[in-house]
Amino acid sequence: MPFKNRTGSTSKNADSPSQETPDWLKKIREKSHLEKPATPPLGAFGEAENRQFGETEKPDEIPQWLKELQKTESPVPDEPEKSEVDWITRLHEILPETPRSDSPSTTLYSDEELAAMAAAARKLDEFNRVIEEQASTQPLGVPPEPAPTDFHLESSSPAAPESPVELEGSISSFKPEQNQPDSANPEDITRDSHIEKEPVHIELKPTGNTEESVPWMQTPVMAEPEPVSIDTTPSEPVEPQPNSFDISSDKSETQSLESGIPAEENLPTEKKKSFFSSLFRKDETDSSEDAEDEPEDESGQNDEAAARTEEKPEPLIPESVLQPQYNRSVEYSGRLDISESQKASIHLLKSMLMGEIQPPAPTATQSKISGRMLRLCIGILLLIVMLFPLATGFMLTDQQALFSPGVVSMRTAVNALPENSPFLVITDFEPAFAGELKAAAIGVIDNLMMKNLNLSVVSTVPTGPALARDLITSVRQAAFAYPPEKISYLGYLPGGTTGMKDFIHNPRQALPLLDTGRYAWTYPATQDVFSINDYAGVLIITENTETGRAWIEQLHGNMADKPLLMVVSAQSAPLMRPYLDSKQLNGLIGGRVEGAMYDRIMEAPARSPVITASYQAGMLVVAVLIILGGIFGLFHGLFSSRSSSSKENWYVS
Amino acid sequence: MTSIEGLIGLVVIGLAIAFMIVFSVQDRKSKIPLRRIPAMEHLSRMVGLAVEEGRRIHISFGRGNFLDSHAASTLTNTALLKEVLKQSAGSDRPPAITSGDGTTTLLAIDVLYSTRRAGIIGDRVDSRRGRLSGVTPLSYAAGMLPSLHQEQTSMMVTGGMLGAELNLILDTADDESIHILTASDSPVGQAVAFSSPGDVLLGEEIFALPAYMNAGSMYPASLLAEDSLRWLLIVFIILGAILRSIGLTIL
Amino acid sequence: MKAPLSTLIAIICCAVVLLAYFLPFEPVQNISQLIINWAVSLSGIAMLVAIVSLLSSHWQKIRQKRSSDRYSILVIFGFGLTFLIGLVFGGPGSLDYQNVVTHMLLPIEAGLLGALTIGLTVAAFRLYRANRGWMTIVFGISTLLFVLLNSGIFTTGTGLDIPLIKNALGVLQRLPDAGGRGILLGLALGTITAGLRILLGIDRPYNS
Repeated sequence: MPFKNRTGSTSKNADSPSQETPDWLKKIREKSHLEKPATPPLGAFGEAENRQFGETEKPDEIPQWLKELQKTESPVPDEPEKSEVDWITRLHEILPETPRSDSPSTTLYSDEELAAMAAAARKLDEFNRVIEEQASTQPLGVPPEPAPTDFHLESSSPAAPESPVELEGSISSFKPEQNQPDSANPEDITRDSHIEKEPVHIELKPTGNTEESVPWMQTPVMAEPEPVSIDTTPSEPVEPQPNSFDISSDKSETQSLESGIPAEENLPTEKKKSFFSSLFRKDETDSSEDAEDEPEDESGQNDEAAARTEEKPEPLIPESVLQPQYNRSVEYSGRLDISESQKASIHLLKSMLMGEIQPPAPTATQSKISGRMLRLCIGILLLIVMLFPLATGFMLTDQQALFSPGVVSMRTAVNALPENSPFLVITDFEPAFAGELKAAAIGVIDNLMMKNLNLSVVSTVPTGPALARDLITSVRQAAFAYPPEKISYLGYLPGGTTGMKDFIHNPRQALPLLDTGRYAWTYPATQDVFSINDYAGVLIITENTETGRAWIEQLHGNMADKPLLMVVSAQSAPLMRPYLDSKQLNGLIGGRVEGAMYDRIMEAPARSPVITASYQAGMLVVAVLIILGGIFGLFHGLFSSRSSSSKENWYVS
Repeated sequence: MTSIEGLIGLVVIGLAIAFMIVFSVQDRKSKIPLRRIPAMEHLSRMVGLAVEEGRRIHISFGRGNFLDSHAASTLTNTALLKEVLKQSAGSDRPPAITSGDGTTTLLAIDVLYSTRRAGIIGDRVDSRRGRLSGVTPLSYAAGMLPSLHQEQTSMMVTGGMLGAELNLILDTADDESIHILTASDSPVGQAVAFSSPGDVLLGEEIFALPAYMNAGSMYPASLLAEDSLRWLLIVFIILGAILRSIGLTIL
Repeated sequence: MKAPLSTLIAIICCAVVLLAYFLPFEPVQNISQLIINWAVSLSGIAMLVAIVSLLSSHWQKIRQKRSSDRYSILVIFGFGLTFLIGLVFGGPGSLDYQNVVTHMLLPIEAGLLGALTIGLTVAAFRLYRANRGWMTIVFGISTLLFVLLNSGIFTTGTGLDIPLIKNALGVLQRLPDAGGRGILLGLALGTITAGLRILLGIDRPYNS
């Protein structure tokens, strides 16, 4: 026996592992030793089990509240429950982690458990009384007892299995040594001492129908197919150890007894769940599929059990005596104590089974649909709100009144540029950002044109030259167009940062041709340029922070005292501002709003104010949605945490 | 570049080399413990899960050019790709790679072929496994989406240069229930990824990917070198702020 | 060491370019420039090869027996058309090519950006899903603040010309600058160590 006997009883195998114990059972027992259950009852029980032989429980170890509880309890009447105690005490041998019922378990359970056990025990008392009145034979040597108290019942009930079927594993794994009393409780010894010790010979015979039992329960039976003869000294009417199927089969004998039992308890034993199914206790909310499956299984069991009844040896103890004891366990089947590791195993197995049974998660589809719906709704909302100013000319705000430092610096730098000098414009933006950057840069380009600068346009983006043409032609159109000879489109500069370095080091070598195929450096706009320092300044238009950063880092230091200006999208502005602060940049415009600021500071009429109003309306809607999303997320989080826990209970229970 | 800036640059590089060598030696003596990054733990688990499921791992190299400032993240992605190829060697579907740049695409394909030559993966490499997705940000994102829809992708690592367009990829990955780890070297991309439910690496964490995939002792060493340099930088920033506030200007 | 020659070439090229950045010696600068020019040419060729690879993969997708990808036909057709216009009808500087960019590419990409805007708005709305603890709240508040700041609503009207308001807005504008700079410094340090791994011959992406 793996558990230490606290009383130091004479059981030889009480302090040493049984030699006959199968390997799998040893492992389970070892595991049960190692584990320290977290819940108070099990945890305390574990401590009790770790005590040395002969070491009695110290009163200090009992919590105060339990001491108070114990003071109110009546003396324990032992005998009526002794018949159950015997097999219940062995339950832990079969069920790893199951605490032995011979410990002073009443002191180790929580208030809720105690109350539940007491309720169950009261029903059991009533049931016992009915049985005692109606039973034709009394258990051996058991005198009539007063109704057991809650305290007494709690000591045995927690580990009680709910039906005889549950015992099939335990019985099949019994060994002769295991059948000896191993009670560690001094009270048990006292109880044993005044009961007449009458050797009982029980002959166990495997039913041979091992396929029906759970595989891990079958193993011992398979390993020891021979009938086992057990000599034991029971403390009371000996619990029949044969296969549970034998016990549950004789309906006719139990019929008379059950007639007096309350309807709730008057279920035939065949209707009881198996031990394995008891592990998967179900709430009333459990799936109907399972409920429908059960009767078929059980009816099948009935037939087989009836068939085995004919073959079984005559029981030594009349089943009319035994049957009520099994029936009454039905009342507190839910009290089976399961350790954390068992629960985890149950979870795992159950999730596997549920995964097999349930259809592929519909929730994923739902979330996919709801995500698309949300996108659609928000898209439509944004579209409506942003179209409204465009359609009606509604203006949300006045013109810009405050100007950012970058815009002010830009004005200063552009005003300081010498007229008719070469100027480099870098258009490194993608087509997607053309709308924003055109609005942001158009004022600056217009100012550069006012200065009659000779513009060289270059881009490290393949589509950049075409977008540059579009931008520059949109500033001044038709008769007001900028003279073509004052603009040279140098085209696409390949090689990324390396290409930039190459161009900065030697522009004529890096880009010898215009994008039209003509030689670039004889063109009027560029003929005076021999190195990068010949440009009066550089304007970089980009939405890409990396590209912008690369240009600044490459140009800074190579263009002494020449203004470096930048127009970026709103998303890139925060990352570019440090360059403005460190004077590596001489002017910065970030996004459409600062473009409008530049127009305002140059005292030019506002360009496309309706589009700016539309932009602002969209931003406001986004801000409102962020607030709403936060509120919704807060409530959804609270709600989902509750629903998920209830869902979890649905599966677990 | 002025001489003082050049000198500072050389000192920083010299310090970085010294730190890397010292920490590399230390790592060989006894394994340097790395701080816990949950996203990295998920990565290893999801690679294993993808292999078990027989589904594909997708590695996006981003739009970073091997010749620009994104070269570091491209190198990191290459090292990551090698490790993922090793770890998913038994998979029915070898990892797929997309890139937004020509040189990076060639580099990724080269890694695929070299692992095949080394016998790490079988003869299942074709041009669909390593390909150019698109050369502009949005065309790159749009070009990647079919691979998420059609190629039995289970998990995805998006590294390199990815900006706001990342949101298109994240949305699709979310719809397709693809686990995604974002390791963008762009602050914009990091901000976008932060608001999505997937894993995200912030700042220089992206360079830690190979170290957490056990790519070699030099990777943890370079991580520690980075950390050491960062602490030095913090000290100098604080010192500079104090000196500036009392009216002293050194540089 | 595998392929010592390629490793040696890589280390030498890396060292020369790095030295040329810091040392103003003419011979080193010239060699560095030569190497950079080679690299630019090679990157152009690499792009060409990558485009061929892209077309090849889409061709294979069209040809595959199961679930042939019809959209790949559009990719190849679009590529062919743009290539033809760019190469035959006057090149990138021609009006035709500009029309392709401004009338086809620009609307498509602008549409994608519009979809992206909606996606980002939805992401902001469902920010709680990211479940990154208190950082989600900080992120949400910051996003809200800067969306409002960048809308330009607070910088309109003459009543705002108050020094306190102007200073407060200026400080708020600087907050992301500081954060962005911090991230960039971290990235720069990572870039240094990654480059040094190449320089020391430890990281050899060209030689797996």
